[in-house]
Amino acid sequence: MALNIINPGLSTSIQDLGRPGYFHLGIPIGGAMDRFSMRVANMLVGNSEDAAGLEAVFMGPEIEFTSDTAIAVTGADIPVMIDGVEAPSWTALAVSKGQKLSFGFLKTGARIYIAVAGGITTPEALGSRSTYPIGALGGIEGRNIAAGDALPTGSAGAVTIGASVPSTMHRMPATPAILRMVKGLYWHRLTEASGQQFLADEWKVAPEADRMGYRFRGGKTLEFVDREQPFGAGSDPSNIVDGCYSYGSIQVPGGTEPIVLHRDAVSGGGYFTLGAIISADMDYIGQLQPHTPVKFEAVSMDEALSARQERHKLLDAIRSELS
Amino acid sequence: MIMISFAPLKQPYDRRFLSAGDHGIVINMDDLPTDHATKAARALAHAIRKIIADDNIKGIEDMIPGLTNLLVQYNPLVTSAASLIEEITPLLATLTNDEGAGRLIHIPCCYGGEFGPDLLEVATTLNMSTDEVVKRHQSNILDVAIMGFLPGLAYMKGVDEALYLPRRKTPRAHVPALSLGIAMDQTVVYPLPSPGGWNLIGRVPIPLFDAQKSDPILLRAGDRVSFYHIDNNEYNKIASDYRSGHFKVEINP
Repeated sequence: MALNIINPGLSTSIQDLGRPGYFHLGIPIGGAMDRFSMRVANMLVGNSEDAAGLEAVFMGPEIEFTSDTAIAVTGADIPVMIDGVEAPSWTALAVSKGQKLSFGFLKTGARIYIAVAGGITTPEALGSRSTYPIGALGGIEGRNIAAGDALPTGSAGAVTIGASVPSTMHRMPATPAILRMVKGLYWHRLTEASGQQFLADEWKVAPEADRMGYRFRGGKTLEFVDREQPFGAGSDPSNIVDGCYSYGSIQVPGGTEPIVLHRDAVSGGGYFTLGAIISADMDYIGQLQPHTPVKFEAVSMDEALSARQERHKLLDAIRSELS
Repeated sequence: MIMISFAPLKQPYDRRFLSAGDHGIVINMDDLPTDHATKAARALAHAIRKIIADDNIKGIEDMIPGLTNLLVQYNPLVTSAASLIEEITPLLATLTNDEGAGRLIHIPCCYGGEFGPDLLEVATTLNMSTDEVVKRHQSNILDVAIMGFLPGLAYMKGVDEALYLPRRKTPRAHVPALSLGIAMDQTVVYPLPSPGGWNLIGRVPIPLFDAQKSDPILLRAGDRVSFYHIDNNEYNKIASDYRSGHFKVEINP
């Protein structure tokens, strides 16, 4: 069984839950930007949650199936079509040999997840099939999918066709999107007024938003407390002596436009970081379209951890719903 | 094993532990001179690896040494920042010079010509012959200070002082993979094609990042590197021997 790619869409890649443990060598964790949606898509088709599927940005691909199988589409809100007939998303769908999956126009959200029963079984690189084009790792020879590719799939488990996840159990960002963050790292370098302003401002997603990082603009330029610039840090107050970045951390080059480092981020650099988006909200960022309004909300570590627990509980609830 | 002593850390220091979200903490060592901090961060990573091996600390997923800090990424379902701080604090008081690394790796490099388009300009700026630049670049054993930014990119410090130059004013949009660049006291080899502003003086015939291998990265923070000069013919032979599995990089423990 294979997925024949007729049209890859705008930027569609094979992703699973990533390759943790190699960041100290400069290899990012990678994997689905919206892990929640990827997990649920896999659950719907009876896969293990870390099976590889497709992540499509803004536009869906067109795919032909070489045998009868089951698929599920989650993530962004977009019409799903089987041979031109609309089918529900967040639902286990039966497809027959020769049928084609295509998509209408994106309504909300940014990333579409497509799981197929048995998962995509391209070769693993460092324990993951996730595509990391910069390092030519994973995917199809390290790249995004292209027209003419035939993606191999594994053997399917048990699937309940028609099983679906109600919209109350989807997890998509609000408008404006609230991104919760834990202050830290170099927050102390900001003046108090500037720190307050950063949290009060409404930012907008910039067009420069991809798997490496999401950039935001529209808020006020940051103001820094005076300091003697350390040797090796450059003259700009937003520079630091090169340090390591945690994924989710918010760097602000020049003090003007915050960038949230995402799944394919570099592991370090010379910009100050003022905090990090909490794990539970990283999925939301993957669903933000350019120009979406965003506010950053500072939360305590306890709140960050309970948000993480809530996300786990929701996944547990979906598992029981589907079992 | 090279023994390096570094200045004592300030105790207490209110900026020692910085939060990196709900799954990371940074152990900041910017109270030390940068060179010392780099080594202290690696020594701390080594000390933590030892207690992980003894099962005395749990939940750590990755440790990323920086020039003045160490990022510890952890699973918040297994441990917490508070427990990690409690477990790591005693290690800071007894940091030894033992980094647990110290491999010496010999890497061939073809200097100049099309592989080192900036060699002539570097020599002219430094007022020495190109041969002198090449000789001096091989004279010092370099120290892999940190890894990162791109898969397999090593920041190697300890370049001969006579070769200190800033990065190029205008970075190149495209630097070919395996180009060797110098700037200030450092050397890098670009593991992949990338934009870059370093002064390119040569190219190495073996990948520092090989996605086909189960252990795809040649260098580790704390390794020492010695470059040796090869000509174009040797370059081509080593490159093809590497591809067919017949070239073994010389690594001394």
